[in-house]
Amino acid sequence: MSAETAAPSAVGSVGVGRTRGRLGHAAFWTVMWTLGLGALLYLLLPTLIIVFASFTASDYIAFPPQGLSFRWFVKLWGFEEVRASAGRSLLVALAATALSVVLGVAAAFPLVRSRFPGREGLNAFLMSPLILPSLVYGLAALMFVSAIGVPLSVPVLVLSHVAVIVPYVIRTTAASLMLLDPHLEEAAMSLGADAWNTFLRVVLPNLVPGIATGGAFAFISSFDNLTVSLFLAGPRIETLPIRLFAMINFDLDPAAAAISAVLVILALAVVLLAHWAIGLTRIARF
Amino acid sequence: MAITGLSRRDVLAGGMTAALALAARGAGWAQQKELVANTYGGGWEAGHRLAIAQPLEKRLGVKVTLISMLAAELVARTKAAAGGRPPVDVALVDDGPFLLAIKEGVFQPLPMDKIPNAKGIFEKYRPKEPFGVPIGASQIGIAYNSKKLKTRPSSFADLWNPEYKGRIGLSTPASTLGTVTLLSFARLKGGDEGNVEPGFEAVKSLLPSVASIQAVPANLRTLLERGEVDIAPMWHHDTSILKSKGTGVEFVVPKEGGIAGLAWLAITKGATTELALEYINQGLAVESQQTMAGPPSFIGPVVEGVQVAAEWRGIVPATPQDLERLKTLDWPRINLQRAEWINRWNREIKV
Amino acid sequence: MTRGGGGRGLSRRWTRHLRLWQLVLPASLFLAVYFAVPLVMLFWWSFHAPGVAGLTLANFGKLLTDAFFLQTLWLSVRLSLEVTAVTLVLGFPLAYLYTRLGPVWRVSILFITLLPLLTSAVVRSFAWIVILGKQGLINAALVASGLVDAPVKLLFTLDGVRIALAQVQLPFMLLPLINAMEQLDPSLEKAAVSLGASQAKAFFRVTVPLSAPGVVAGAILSFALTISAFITPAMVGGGSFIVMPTLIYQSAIVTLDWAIASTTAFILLAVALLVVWGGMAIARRYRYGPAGA
Repeated sequence: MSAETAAPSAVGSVGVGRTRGRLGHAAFWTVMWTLGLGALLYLLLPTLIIVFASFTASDYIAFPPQGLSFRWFVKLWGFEEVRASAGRSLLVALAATALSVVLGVAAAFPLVRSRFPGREGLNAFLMSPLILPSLVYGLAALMFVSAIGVPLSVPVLVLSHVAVIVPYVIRTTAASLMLLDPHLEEAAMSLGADAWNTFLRVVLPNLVPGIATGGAFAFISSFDNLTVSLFLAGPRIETLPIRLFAMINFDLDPAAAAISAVLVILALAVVLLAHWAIGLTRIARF
Repeated sequence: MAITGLSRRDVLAGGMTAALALAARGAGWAQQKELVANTYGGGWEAGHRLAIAQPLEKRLGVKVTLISMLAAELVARTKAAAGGRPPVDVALVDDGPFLLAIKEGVFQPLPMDKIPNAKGIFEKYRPKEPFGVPIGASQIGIAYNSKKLKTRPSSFADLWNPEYKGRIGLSTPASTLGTVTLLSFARLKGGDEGNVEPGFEAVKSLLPSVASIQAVPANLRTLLERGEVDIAPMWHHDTSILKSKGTGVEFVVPKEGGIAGLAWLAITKGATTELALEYINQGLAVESQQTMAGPPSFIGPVVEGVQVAAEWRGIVPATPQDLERLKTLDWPRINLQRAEWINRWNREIKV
Repeated sequence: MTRGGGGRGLSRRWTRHLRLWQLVLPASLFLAVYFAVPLVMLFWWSFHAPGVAGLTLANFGKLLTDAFFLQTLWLSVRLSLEVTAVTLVLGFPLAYLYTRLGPVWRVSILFITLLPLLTSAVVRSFAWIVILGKQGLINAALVASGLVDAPVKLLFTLDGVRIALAQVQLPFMLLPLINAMEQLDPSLEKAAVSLGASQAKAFFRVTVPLSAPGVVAGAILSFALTISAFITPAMVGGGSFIVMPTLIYQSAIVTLDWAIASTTAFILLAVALLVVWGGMAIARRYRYGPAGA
């Protein structure tokens, strides 16, 4: 159904017209494919390059890498600050994701199933962190927290991450919910199950792929986040992206490339999970 | 399933020992303290970790976290935290920002009697006010790639050599490196901290040969490493890092003598003072200074008695003879004019 | 949905009283307090200047009459428009191909699009620092293809940032485009061709106008995110020039001038909104305009 279309040459053409049609046809698709493949390479290459560069055996970053070795990954593990900030990022991301899943899954239900005044507006509001620049939000959150006299801490950072990642969970859960056949629930209840059991045994299992995907996106958004963390984390609460940012600004070390490679692999895992759970083509429609 | 060879009594005994050990550690935990110290990234951080943080952790059983933060942000955050915990306990700042920070009132006065190792500091580097101690020295010189450039420069005056055309990198007065570079040019043409005009003229006349001007010294180092520029005025420690990576970059002490830049350790107000004093004292110990003078940091020592390996002698200023050829600057005077210099540079100097 | 009551297992009395819409309250309240209130506070701050009582436009006056500020604002807008244009030119063919190719291609394209999205901006910017050097890949390609005689200075320059930003924003242009173009009927284009148009003509007269909603969505997203991008210009630009987000960060964290920081942020949002509205207005006219169908 979506095979590459080969348009028939122009109607009414004879001889020259038909050739010109075919030439134009070829030229058009050449341009399209060149630009398209170019765009794909453009998207892919930087990530690939940094991952390859991290396996360099030399002391400085170069691509192509001079010799291959794991030594920078090993060295990385020895950096206490890197380990500490990675652990902190993990903690923050897990906490933020957990909270987001609780808030987001709950919120998805009324947004899909209920009709109440202002539903559209509320939906837009709940999605707004996705389009509002996180730089502005980070600043606002810092001002807010200072104004109410709360010192910066890990919980404060976690909450700020929740604000920017909860839309992911809401969106994928809602999309999953919309795809769920309501007949399943009716059937369960007509067989004697009450609402709570129906939810637990029929609805929730079918939502798990959507929730898992949203949660994965939320997790990695928190783990990767720099702009909000730059404002709200302090030097005593350093996260991995902050440490990486500082490292790169001072010195182009292959160690930074190794950290980057780890983050890329994490992203890879999330994409694979999303594909396995829901399918990338469906996610693109969310 | 039974673990042969271990009787129930053995397991019990083992368990009790473990429990006792945990209890003992728990009591120790109550006393364990944490220190956050500022450092510069790259080589400085590695050097401070090796020479100061790790020995301190081993000796006192405390946890030291090293973070890098620019002076301006450090001052701002410390002021904002007034009363509460400052962002760092021990601050590391260059000459200029050090004096400015003292004026902003973010540092505690240091009880010098609690820092016995401070007695070993070179006379030339001794602090005039008790708000901080120097921890490392750097000298400015010329970094050039000997693999790509045939002529070895011997002075800042050699930068006008046609072979270097289009290969030179400079830094703006926004950084200490850039400020000292400007003053080096000024000195070359007969000026000084009070008369920097010859410096600006010299830079302007050099512009046709300049390939890149960077506000951030680390970026200049990156460009030098990558071969985007091949010669630049640079600190000896940055250059030595490049040299040790096998890039072919060499450091030249200008024959007219170089300028020394110092990095100062200070304690912020509201910090865990005792631990901070231990950190500073450890940093001034001869062994620590010895470690920092070698790879990967190559920081010039501020105390007497440090031996530098033959390969780095003269590059890493460590002996009284080295110091004699170095000039220290009048930073209070510089601080008064620095903003103006930065603005003037941004307006008039463009590649 | 019937409410709980009786039955086996976990039915609870409280499910009887729980109304469905209440489930949206926790998230809504949380965002209201921790997202909306801070933003309102930010705007409030921009209308208050130190030393001046009550609401004032002093901050705006100070910034909007400062040459350096206006220069920076203009640079940000210009840069974002350029980057958005580039992402459109690169993204449109790829989105078009997507709709014409099979499932394996589609998944691959999405995979390659999503992977950078989920990678931290720090990592992506770092990759560009590695690639943009005189001996890096970009210059190697340029020299090899004969487009330039000698390696071009790209690292720590505005050009380099343009190249890096376009790649960082491309997924944000691509996804809405794909979404929109997927919903188009491919037979429309085929019909145009069978009526005598060349492939290219059919594309430009039929497909492009009908994709306008996707283009607008992608352009809005791409523009809004580019103008507020902090990390890539900071890292790849190396401090050699300043954009609005850099100003915001500096005034917020380094100089602690929150009146200026909040005002700058407010102006940034306002300008972004203005450009977005302008773009949407143009798009609306295009959609009902004479082009194509």
